[in-house]
Amino acid sequence: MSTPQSAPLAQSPPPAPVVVGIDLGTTNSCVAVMINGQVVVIPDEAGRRLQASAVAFLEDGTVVIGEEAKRELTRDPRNTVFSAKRFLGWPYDSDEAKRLRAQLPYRVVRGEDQNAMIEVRGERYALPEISALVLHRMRDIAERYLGREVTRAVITVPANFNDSQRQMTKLAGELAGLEVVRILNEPTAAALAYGYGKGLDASLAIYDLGGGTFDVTVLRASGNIFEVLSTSGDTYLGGDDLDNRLTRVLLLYLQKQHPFNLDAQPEVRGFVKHIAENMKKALSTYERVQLTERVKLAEYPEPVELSVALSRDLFRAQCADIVERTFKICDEAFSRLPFAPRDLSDVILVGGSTRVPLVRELVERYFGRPPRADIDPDEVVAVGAAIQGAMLSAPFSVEHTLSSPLLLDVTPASLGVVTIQGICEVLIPKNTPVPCECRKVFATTSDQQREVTIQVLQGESRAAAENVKLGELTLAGLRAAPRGAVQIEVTFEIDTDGLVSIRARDLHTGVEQASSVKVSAGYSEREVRAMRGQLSSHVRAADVSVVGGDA
Amino acid sequence: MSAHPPAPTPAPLMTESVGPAAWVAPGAVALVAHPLEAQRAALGQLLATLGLTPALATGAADAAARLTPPALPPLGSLWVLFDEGAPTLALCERLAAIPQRVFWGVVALGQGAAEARAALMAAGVDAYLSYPFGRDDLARLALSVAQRRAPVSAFGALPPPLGTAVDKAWMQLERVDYYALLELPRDASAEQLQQRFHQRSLVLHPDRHRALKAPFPHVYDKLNELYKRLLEAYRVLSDPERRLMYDVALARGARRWDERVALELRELSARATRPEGRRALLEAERLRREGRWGQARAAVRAALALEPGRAELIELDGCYERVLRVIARDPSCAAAAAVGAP
Repeated sequence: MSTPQSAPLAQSPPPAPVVVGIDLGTTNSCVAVMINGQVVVIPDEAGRRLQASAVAFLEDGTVVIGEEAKRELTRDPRNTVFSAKRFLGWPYDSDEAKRLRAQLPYRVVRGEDQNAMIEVRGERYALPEISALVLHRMRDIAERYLGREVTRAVITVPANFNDSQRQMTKLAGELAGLEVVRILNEPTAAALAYGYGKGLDASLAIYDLGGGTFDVTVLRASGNIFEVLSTSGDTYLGGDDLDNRLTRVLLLYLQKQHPFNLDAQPEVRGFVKHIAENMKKALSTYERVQLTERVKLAEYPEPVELSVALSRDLFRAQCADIVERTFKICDEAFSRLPFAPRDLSDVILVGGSTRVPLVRELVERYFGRPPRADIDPDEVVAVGAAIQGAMLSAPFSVEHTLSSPLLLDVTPASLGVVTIQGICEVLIPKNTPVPCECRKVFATTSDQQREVTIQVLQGESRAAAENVKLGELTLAGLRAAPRGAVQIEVTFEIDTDGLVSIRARDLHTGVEQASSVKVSAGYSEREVRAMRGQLSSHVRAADVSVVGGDA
Repeated sequence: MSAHPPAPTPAPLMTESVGPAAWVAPGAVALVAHPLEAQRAALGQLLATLGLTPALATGAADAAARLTPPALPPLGSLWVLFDEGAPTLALCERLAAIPQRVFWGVVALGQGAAEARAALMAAGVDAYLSYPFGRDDLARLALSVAQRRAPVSAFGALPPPLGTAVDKAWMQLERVDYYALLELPRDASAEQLQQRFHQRSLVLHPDRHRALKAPFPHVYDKLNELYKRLLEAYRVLSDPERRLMYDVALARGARRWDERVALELRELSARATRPEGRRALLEAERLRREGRWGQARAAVRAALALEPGRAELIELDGCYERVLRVIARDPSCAAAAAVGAP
């Protein structure tokens, strides 16, 4: 054994697998990767750097994802799923889901446990499955570009996504064959992309108005450290709302010019929405847009002509209130901080909707300074995710420690428990830096009580019922004792991945009951297995149609 | 991914020139647990050439006995273990259970199957070395273990190896207050505080040690605990109101933030309505706890001056006045009075 001959080392580190950054947007998605210190936004086969977050289910059983699916949007809106991210985390019967159902042309049905499911061509899909198909496409684009297998990713979500929405996103990643190294907040990713390597010493606000969500994050950048100070948002506010307003206007015009029954032909709405989106984009360049488009209506033998002229003034009159709503949320974010919006060094815009001149103008008014114009709002989030991915995959070295960026993030929603009368008692308030933990002592409420059940909630409402239930923890096998005599200390912990875990300890006996709540994104094992099975067949179908041949 | 990674290309550093100083802490002990005397001796010699002081155990049970206080060896030791069987696993458990686990690395030797290795890694073994191996293999492996532990050595002004530093910080965790944890003076400014916290975060944040999570969960968990406490300290000290209350709690002998104490102090300071007045009352409470009654009363009077005629403050001032009179007669009362309510 003391022969000098070399034996292979058991502990040799394998080459670090690449970690890509994926911005899984409501409307568009983007993938980036860091190679040799440089971030590359990865283009698809056609050179496009953005992909529509849309999935089309064609008649012949093929599945089309991304830009190709977007084309189906106007041709076959009932079988083309888009904006599915807006449903994520909303129970089927919630007001939000109801409103969305009225707006979207595809069919949404009730699944198990109140989850909304999408029904296309007689098959039901859970929301993570749709996201998984989009993620699979992004993974595929990255693999083609890099010429190697991609199995790990940082995926971004709106800052105000709750734990269950994050878990669903993580599940989507896993379904797409990706190990989700981190779920990262979109605005934080943007700040990272903006400040990376600049050696800043500044306070920044990231104003993120995407297709379906709005977030504002205030953050302090000092050198390599990015410390999130406060974050607020609304998962139901975004560019889609602007489109819907314009769609309403256009439908009124159309109705006036050519009376028709909208309810009987929902595809008209999808078509008009598409026109509205294009007009909104055109208004970002021109003061006034004139448009004539032919529309097929069941009531008329020939396609009719829709003729509209829109000005920025009209747009402002229709949409200013939507944009104003974002500043209420900004006020909320600043209410916790010792400084005002006007004290910031920079405002960064993220999300396609911030291209709208009205948004830029109102942002400038609110923050008292023009927003940064030198950042691509569509790509900046994916770039930040790629930087974080590289950081998380790097092996430790002193050099790495000193030179690579570090994010100090906060928890986006308050964590609490249900107490008597359905009141939610907050244990870890929103905006607490992670990792963090909180201890709380529970006592039995009746004599000889042998079990205590703790319901864990996330959300800002005092009424337990209005918050999202993350899970339930039952401590069984308690000592038989008079009421109140058994005291249990429960530790709630949120780690740097934003995941919640719980431990319990009997204070008198010191017995640790290492129960941990498994937060399952609201799906049972069985449902997840079913998703896996269903998805693999669709992924094969998608490979054939999108990539053309090497499934 | 392939189950068998390709043979690593030896780093140029790993030649006969690998000196002991590169990774061996002064006075480091290597505990060898091997049932065969000849093997034991050969391993001991090998370790001695690396600058380690070998300690030889006849097997897992003997090694476990040497890991029991007061026989626990000093800081910065390298444990070399043998035998992948059950006794070694039990030994690993023993190692992991030592609350102040002070070591460089646990290395298992053998020719075990992948499952056995995985079990050992899960039990807290840092590395696995297959027979046959030479001095360089051992050195290379020890270096890699030491390097993996290196993150922790950047903790504070403590010298490498990092594992030792973290272990030390870990041992002190329940014994130090927030200022000591951050190695800051009590009067540190907000800027100093932020700067120090950022410095520590760069090396200690769990994201910096993600690579440790799967292979070395116990090291990762320890770092995570340590970082959580740093963050807790930073959160309390960076909020002026909380910091003031924490300082009072410190004067009363507490080390960590406690919501119940905070609630009590908020009630106490609510005798004043203005923020400056509340701060003055907290200041008075702290000074009183430190036995500085004269200064404490001055603070109460300052609060009273802000809103003269407020009954709650006049009453409090009266209490302080009475206590001061007692102390003037008998100074030995000061300490006793500091413990109770005013």
